[in-house]
Amino acid sequence: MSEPGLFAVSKETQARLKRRYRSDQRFRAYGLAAIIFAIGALVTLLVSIVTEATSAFTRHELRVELVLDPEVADPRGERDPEDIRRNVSGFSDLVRASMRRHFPETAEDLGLRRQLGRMVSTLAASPIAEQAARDPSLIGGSVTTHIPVSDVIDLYLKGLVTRETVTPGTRQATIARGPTGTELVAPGAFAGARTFIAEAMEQERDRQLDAAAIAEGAITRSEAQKSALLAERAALEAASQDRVRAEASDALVGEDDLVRAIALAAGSVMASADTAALRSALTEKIDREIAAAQTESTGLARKGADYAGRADRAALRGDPAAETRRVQSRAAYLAADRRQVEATLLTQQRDDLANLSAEDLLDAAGLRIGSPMAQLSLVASASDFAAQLEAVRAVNAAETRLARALVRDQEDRVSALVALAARLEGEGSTGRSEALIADAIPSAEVRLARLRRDFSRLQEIGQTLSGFAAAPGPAPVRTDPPIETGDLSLDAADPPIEPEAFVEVEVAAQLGLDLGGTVAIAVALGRAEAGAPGADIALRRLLLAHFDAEIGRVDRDIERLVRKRDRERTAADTVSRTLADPSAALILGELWPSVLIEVHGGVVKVAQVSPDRVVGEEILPLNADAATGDWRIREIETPEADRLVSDRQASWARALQASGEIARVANWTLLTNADSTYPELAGISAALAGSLWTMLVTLLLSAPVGVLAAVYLEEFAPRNRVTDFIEVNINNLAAVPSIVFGLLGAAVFINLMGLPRSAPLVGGLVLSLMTLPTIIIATRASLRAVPPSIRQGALAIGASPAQTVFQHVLPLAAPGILTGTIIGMAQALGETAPLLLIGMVAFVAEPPTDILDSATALPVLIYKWASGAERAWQPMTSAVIIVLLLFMFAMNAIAVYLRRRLERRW
Amino acid sequence: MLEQIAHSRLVLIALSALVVWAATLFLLGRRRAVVLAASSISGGRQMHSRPNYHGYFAALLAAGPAFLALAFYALFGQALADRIAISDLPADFSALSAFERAVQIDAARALAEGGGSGVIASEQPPAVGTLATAMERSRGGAKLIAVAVAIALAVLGAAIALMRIKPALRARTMVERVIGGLLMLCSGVAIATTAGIVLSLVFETIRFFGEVSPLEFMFGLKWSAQTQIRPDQIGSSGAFGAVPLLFGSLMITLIAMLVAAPVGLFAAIYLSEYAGPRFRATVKPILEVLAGVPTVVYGFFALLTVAPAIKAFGEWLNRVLMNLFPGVEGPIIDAQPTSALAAGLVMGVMIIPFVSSLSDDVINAAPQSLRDGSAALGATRAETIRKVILPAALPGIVAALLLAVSRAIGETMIVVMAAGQRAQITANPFSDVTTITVQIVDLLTGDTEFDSPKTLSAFALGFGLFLLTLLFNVIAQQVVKAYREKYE
Repeated sequence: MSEPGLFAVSKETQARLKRRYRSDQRFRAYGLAAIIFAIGALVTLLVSIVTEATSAFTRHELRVELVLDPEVADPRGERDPEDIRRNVSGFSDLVRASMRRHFPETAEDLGLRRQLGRMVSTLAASPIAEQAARDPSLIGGSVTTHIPVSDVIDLYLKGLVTRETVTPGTRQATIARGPTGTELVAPGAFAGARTFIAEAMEQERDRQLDAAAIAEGAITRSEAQKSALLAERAALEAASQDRVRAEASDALVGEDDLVRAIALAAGSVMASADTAALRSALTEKIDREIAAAQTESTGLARKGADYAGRADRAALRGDPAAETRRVQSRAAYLAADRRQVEATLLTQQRDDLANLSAEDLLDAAGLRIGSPMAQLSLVASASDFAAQLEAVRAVNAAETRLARALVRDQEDRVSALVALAARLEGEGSTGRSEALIADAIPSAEVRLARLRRDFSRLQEIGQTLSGFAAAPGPAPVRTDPPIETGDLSLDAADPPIEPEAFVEVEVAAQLGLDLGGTVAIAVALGRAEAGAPGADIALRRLLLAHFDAEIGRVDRDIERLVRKRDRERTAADTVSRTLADPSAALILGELWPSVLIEVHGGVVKVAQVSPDRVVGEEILPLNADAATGDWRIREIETPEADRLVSDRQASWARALQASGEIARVANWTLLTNADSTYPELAGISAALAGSLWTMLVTLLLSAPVGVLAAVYLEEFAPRNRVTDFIEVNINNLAAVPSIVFGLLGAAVFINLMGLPRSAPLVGGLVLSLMTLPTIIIATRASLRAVPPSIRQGALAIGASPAQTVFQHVLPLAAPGILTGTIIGMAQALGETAPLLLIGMVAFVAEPPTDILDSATALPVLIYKWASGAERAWQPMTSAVIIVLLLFMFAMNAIAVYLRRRLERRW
Repeated sequence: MLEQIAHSRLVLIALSALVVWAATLFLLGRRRAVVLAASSISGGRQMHSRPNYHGYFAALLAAGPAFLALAFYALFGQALADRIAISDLPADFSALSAFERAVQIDAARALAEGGGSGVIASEQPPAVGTLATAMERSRGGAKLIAVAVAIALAVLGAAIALMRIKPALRARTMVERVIGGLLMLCSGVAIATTAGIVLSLVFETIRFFGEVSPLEFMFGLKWSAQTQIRPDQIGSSGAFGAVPLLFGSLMITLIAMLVAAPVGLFAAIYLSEYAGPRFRATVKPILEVLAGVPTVVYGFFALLTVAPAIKAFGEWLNRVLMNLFPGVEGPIIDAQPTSALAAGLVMGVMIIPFVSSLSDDVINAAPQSLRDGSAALGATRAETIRKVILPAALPGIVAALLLAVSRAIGETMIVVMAAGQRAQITANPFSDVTTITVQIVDLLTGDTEFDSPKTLSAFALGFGLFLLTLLFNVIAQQVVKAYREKYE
């Protein structure tokens, strides 16, 4: 008898219990949700890759009947197999000719012929050439063969380029050929097509309106920017001297320190003739440039030697990359030699600095920072014609001096290059010397000629300027030895020059010269800080002019934006008006989706569509004899301008498909071909072979070493610090990022030990170091699982410790070791990053034949193909992934099977 | 003659001969031991070891030293021979600057390796050709000496071994001692690997810091190491501030952990506390498949599926926000085709099994008595987990998360393919960022020279990465160890 109420619980408790159980249910649901999320992610991954890959399992092939015209196939007529093999372009011509036989109308039009030719793979003819080379008797006869269509056509036929709908024509259509094109009339039959186009037009109109709105926003922003600039300009006009200087030095923030220092020092030299600062700034700048030039030059020369070595090795192997390497080597040496000359010239200039006068120093400064040391501020501040003339003259003089300095510098360079070429020739480096003579010296001379022309033009302007009346004295052009300028005499029939207009043009040109540049501001600031008379006013003027230019730029922006906005709006309006009338004819262009009408064995590309009739161009000629019969409307959603397949190519491809010339076949070449630049010809064989070689090396190295190390640690090692240290080490190695192993490989195996880059040997070494911890850990675990009684039994009958381990324990632990090794190998098979660092990303066109050949691996191939630009690489990449995953799943399945089959429970 | 030897496969032939020689000696030694044993039965002295061990003994003695000699040649022979050739350089070399000499020696080495076919000998100064010939001659000589020494050692060893085979010979002890040494050597490979990693990284990093200040590297905010060398470009050293890269790595790691930590943890809790044995046996291997998928596949998945989806989502979000805040200028969320979010999400999926299996282990390691005690007090299962199991397993879970973080930081292919190249510090997860690993790959793929700061910076980055992950690993391992000891 229980007391009533003993099990009766209060309402609150019941509620709490309910809450607690709900919370328990919630917790459980979170867990389930987490698992579902994880599995969902896996499923998404696999599904997206498999769906993407399916299209790469098949490809489209075109059947071609080639008439092997001897004139084209073997123009020399000697039937030399080598000749024939190399004549791929001739065979390509034959392929194109055979395609033209299907579409005779393309024969006359070069553009059409090109489009037709591009429908097959670029290198499609090379197997045919190969076939003919093996059996030259084929030439003169005809062969039938299958060649892959180009990747875009393949994708189009697989429906991956654009959405396409085909609807059968519903009513009897009458056809008429008129001057504007072929006309099809069938009341109401084209309403669907018209709606299709109208929808696209509406979308386009929305886009245009959006674009107009965005332009509108940009206009508002630009206007705000402009008024901010105007306000700043007004503030500057009224600002104090110090404020102006502060503004000027603000403008210099971000400029290279040395350039600013040189410009400032140059300004103060103009004002006070104190040259020490400028001299030291210049020295530092030149020193830096010399150091840079020398470092680069030595680096490049080393590179040149390196490439030369590689070229040699490649040439020995008969690798066609040798030529590329040689060109690279030459280019590197050439660049190195140029930088060497540069360093020599700079050294000379630095040594000369100590002896230069103030004026010469200014020239040197101009040369260094590539801008005349002119007082543009003077030009900006001059108000009347006389002052302007004077300022323009001074700037012209500075520019002329800079131009002269540039010419001298370039002359020095040319002679230094010539001298270097002669020296190299004398030393026996004819290749480098030839490169200098063939490349560097002519281009230096071209530049010299241009500099001379610049100089003489400036000189002419200077002469013109000094001819004007207001000139207070001759312009300060020094009497240096004359410069050879070639024939540049002015046209005698020049009209007389108006001084005002001329000076105005010059003011504008000179202000434009470096108005945006900070050098002019720095020079003016330098002058102002050195206390030159009038320099502050000049600085203010210059800054104001700077603002004016900026404002002008914003104004031009606004104008451009307004034009864009109006254009978009007008276009949108036009579309709206057109669409207002539901029965009006719509004009199609290449910006709109395409509508193709297949009728009478031909195709009409619609140019104008209304519900009852269409007018268009026959892109495949209609066959007049056929009955009106069936006709179809093909709507291609992506506008022709946005896809790589033209409407004609699409129609040809469909026609060839309909007649069975193009057929979809299994893509075995994906497995048998090596890598290629063309997706339709690329395959994985070379990467697969590379992976297998690498795995072989990895297995041979890591399995014995790993097992022996584990045996030592588990069975023999004394428990001491060293053993502990080894254990910690192994655990850490298991968690070191794989890319660090790649770095190790690059530094030790390649750089230090000089093993060849890209070789399976190096890849295998790196991967076996990575796999070692996995194997050691797995082996130790399975050794530990062997019961001690086995060891004791063996020892008891007199076996030595080594005999015990190798004859009794190890065989019993073998299944676990095997499983661990296979899993480690599967990991290594999927590893990418370390292989990238040791150069296994090279383009490999031949499967490697030993462990020192250049090779790549499956995961690396995935990485490379994934970054391919063409859309067709995506399915290809997915297909490789499937191959790789199959390998890995197979390995893991074997491991699981072995574990189940051989595992022993004690 | 010597030149031809330099290019012959003499060492390879010698090695194969050595294998045959070892097998022969094994048989000979064994035969001798068998004969001795037969005589011992008829009253001679008892054999110490079994005949097989005598065979091994003979084979080891005959082939071992010779093999070591050949291995020594294979590792150091060429370098030594080259040094000898260089040591009596042609007179032209002494006039050159140290650098030019190095370049010419490189060229000569290349020529010597290429077989002196004269392919580009014409482009080199004649002195290089002379040196190359000298190198080939001295290499040939060294190879000849190595093989001769090996033959001598093999014959000598064989003779000694056959002479020493007596009943009293402790052949087994000796063979086992050699085997023991071999075993020790193998376990030393782990130490050698770590030492190799540390030394090579430290060495290159020090060289890098010789050209770029460590302060700039550690605190600089600008990274642009990919400055190309154009012939007429001045100062192409680039900027080496690693902070944006570290930022990118940490940002993507954070995103990944935001995915992996809750999902992995909850999955582990469900599997260990709620799921039945059959569910567990089915789901655990499926989760482990996630860990077995190669990272490059995840990278492609990120590129193919996730990144476009993230971009579309970012653009949609941007439109929504722009409509909500019409006054704001420019895009609020600047979605890029590759983004930190895409890379982080996929990386999170990748490390889910990592977190879940490690947490599963620690949760299972918590003693059953804790659960029983909690249940006896009337706690629901969720309460047991939250208030008893998780606090008890917390150190282990933290360690699991640390290991996952270390793995995320070091992960390469996903970020290389889906995170982008722009070194920037931004809070916008839709924007592209770059990471330490991406830059390492970037700097070291393609043609690299080992002298430019550009290449060296990759090693400095690698060293930083190594230290960072090592720190996380060591902490995690210590935590796990302490935790295990607590409950064992």
